[in-house]
Amino acid sequence: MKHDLGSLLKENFGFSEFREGQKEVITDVLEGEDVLGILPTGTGKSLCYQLPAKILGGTTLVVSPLISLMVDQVKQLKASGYKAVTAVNSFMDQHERNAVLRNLHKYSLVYISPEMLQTDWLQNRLNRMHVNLFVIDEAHCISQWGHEFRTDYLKLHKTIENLGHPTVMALSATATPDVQRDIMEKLRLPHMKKRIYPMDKQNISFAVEECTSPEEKTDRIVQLLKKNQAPTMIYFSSRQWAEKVSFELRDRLKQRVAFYHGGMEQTDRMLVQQQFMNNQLDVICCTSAFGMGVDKKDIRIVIHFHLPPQLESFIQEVGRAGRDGGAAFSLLLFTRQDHYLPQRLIQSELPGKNDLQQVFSFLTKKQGEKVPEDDVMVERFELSESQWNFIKFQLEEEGALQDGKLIGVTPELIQEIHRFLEERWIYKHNKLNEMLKWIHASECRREALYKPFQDMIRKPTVPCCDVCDFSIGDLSFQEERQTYDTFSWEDRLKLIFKQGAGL
Amino acid sequence: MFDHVVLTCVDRFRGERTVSGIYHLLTGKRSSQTLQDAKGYELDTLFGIYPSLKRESLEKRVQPLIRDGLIQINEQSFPSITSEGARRLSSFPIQELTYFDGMVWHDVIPTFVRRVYLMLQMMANTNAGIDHYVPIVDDFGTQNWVRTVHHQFQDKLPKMVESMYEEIHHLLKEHPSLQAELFVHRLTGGGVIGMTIDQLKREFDLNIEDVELMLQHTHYYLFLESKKKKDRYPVLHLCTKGLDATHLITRSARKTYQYIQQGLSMQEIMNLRRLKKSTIQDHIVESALIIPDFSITSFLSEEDVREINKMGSQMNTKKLKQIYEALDGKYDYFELRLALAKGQHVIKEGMTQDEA
Ligand SMILES: Nc1ncnc2c1ncn2[C@@H]1O[C@H](COP(=O)(O)OP(=O)(O)O)[C@@H](O)[C@H]1O
Ligand SMILES: [Mg+2]
Ligand SMILES: [Zn+2]
Repeated sequence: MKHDLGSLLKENFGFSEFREGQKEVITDVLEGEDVLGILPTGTGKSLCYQLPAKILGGTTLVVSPLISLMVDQVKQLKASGYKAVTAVNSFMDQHERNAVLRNLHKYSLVYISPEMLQTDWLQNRLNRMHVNLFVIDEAHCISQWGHEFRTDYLKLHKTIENLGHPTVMALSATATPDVQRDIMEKLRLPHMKKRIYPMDKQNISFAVEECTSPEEKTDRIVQLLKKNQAPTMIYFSSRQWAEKVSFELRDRLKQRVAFYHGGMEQTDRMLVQQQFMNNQLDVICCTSAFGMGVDKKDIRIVIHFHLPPQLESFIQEVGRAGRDGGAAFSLLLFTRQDHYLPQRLIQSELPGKNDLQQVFSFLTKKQGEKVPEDDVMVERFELSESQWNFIKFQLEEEGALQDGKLIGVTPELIQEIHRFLEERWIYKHNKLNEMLKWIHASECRREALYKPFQDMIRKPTVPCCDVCDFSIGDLSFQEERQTYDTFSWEDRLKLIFKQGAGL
Repeated sequence: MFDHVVLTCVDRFRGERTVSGIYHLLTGKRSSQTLQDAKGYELDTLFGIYPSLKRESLEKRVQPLIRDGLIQINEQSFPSITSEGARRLSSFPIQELTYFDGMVWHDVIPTFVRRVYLMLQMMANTNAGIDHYVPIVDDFGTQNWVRTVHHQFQDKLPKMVESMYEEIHHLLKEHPSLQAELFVHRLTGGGVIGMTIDQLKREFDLNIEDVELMLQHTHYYLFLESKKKKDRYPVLHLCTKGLDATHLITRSARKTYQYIQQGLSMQEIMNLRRLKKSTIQDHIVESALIIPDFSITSFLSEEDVREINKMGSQMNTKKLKQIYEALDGKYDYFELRLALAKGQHVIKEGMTQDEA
């Protein structure tokens, strides 16, 4: 079966040509080959399964790790006219979920969280449908060596088997060769076709600066943004900081500044996103919660107020800049104290040795019984949710926990889990160290950043970095902008309804 | 505006209810206590007008009122109004919150609001030739509703867009201008994205609670006006379709009410429903509060009702304990509550007759 992919692209999405890698990946799955696609952020990985979904018919199942990400994607797709799409997630109310599930076979594209996928009723439902393509987005979550290891991803190979092995497409933006190998291993698909594309951004200039205090960082940003006016994102490691700095910038700059984080009310979150997309905002102070589903092409400046916990997150976040191909700029600011921030994050994710000991001495006495509910365990041992999840998953994985019952919690097993935990700690710290090494490196920033991921670094189309040939002082973005905010209500209402002359 | 609402509550509660009572009233808690308070202290218009109010925000806003001497807190921590507070209260431009009618409408206002915002976005975007956009309202039911309207009136759409603009413009012209500003800046459509509550607060230099209450007041205003005048405001009226006044009675109370109507005794209902006596009594009081023509003669004679209410108004209190003592324990607390609940309607009817 041969398809005129070019005209199908035009017809369905209105684009005139494929971005690098899209056509190859699409052709593979149309020919029934399982494929692993590593394409940089912003290239259009979604299109790699959205177009085949249209062509193949039946159902395309997309496993996606973050509910917010799924919901955003579905909204965007619907907004762009792609209607036969839905996301099954735990946030839906009963009414909505029932409506969706009843009609599940009518959707061509079904986004789903890995947790949801494990429920029996959904598996049964899926078994009675024609799943033609099984997509794993953000596939690095499968790998323990990936930067966002998610235990639920490890069960995907079983689901694929249960569904009678539909064609599989695994996608990621950031996966080192180790991680790539691990993905194929964990999916039990050793013969996947590999489609790997370079992720270095040729249109971004890099700079890293050390400051002595958070105040100095803010001063630096004010200084920079007084001179440059263009869509800007500033990343923070906490909600409080994002808010605090946004207030200060609002007072000190003539730009329109807002904050965005996961703790905001749903409507307000959407409004801020849309304002930014619509150029009603210039600067957005956000946590990593922002941006996943946001696809703004003309972001010129990305600033990191805090250190990300690993290079992969940094690369992804920086990759939001300059998607239109125009010149863009990345600045990372750090103080010596910042080194502890990601460390604390790691601590909240992984259980400590003592936690593990206490939990196991408790569980050993519970042999043959049911494990207490999650929140009971979390409270009793003062664990974070992800810490308890880690332990529980290890027990399941080692066969010591079946159908909620504890069987065979042996000393050997405990030792094994201790060992694995240690490995994770070391792994995370290594990740952090890579990040720290990068900010202190004296070689070309671009080279050092992308080297772990690809063999050859391409020549940039803009000044390279502050080690090579770039100086922040040379930066000069001055963009036109429209503003509605000083309008009276009558003018604004007219504008909304396009009434009256000149508006 | 929020201060004014709080002062009004404090004033009407006459030092007989705590700040918690105000909180339950504004957030619309469905307990017979809160319902009874709303009716008894004539605060039913403010019932449930601010469901998203946070308890801490209320506490925080009460502090400066105390500090500025507008209210005082007695030993039992009940707030009451001072003469300064009363002066402040009477100087408030009352037309800025006359449209609140929470007891009757608070249940349906959120649906109306979602419809208006989404319908407006749909219409303005259609008008501006924007086909693809993210709906401003996430709610599944509302999206379906707007979709249906879109289908049903496809050929009339341009006319409706014009009408919607004109309706809103006309209504807002007659509305306090600050409230009009807030409302229009909150709207999304035609390529303009609305502001967040936080942005509104900063732009207009207000408190969060004032922003939210003023928006809410405008919502009540648009709702009530367009509900009333179908011909003058046809598009907004469409958004009120199927949204009717609620008889605020809990399902469980309704059941009890029906048994009583069928002639069952309290004991029989207790056995049948396996509920405690006090619960059934709550139901009866609730029914008496909400349903004006509910006959309570099987529990209390009209004479008794009159005597209790007379004592209440003589002592100028709704406090059961005081009335109980003044009547030397002749009636139990259930009877007192029931009589006061019933008295509510009698007084109101009496008043309207006087005025007429
Ligand atoms: N061939 C193409 N031509 C132009 N734009 C494209 C093309 N493919 C995808 N896009 C756009 O690129 C943006 C990023 O797509 P997305 O799938 O979110 O990227 P990724 O998942 O790789 O980060 C989307 O707005 C999409 O519409
Ligand atoms: Mg993606
Ligand atoms: Zn360089």
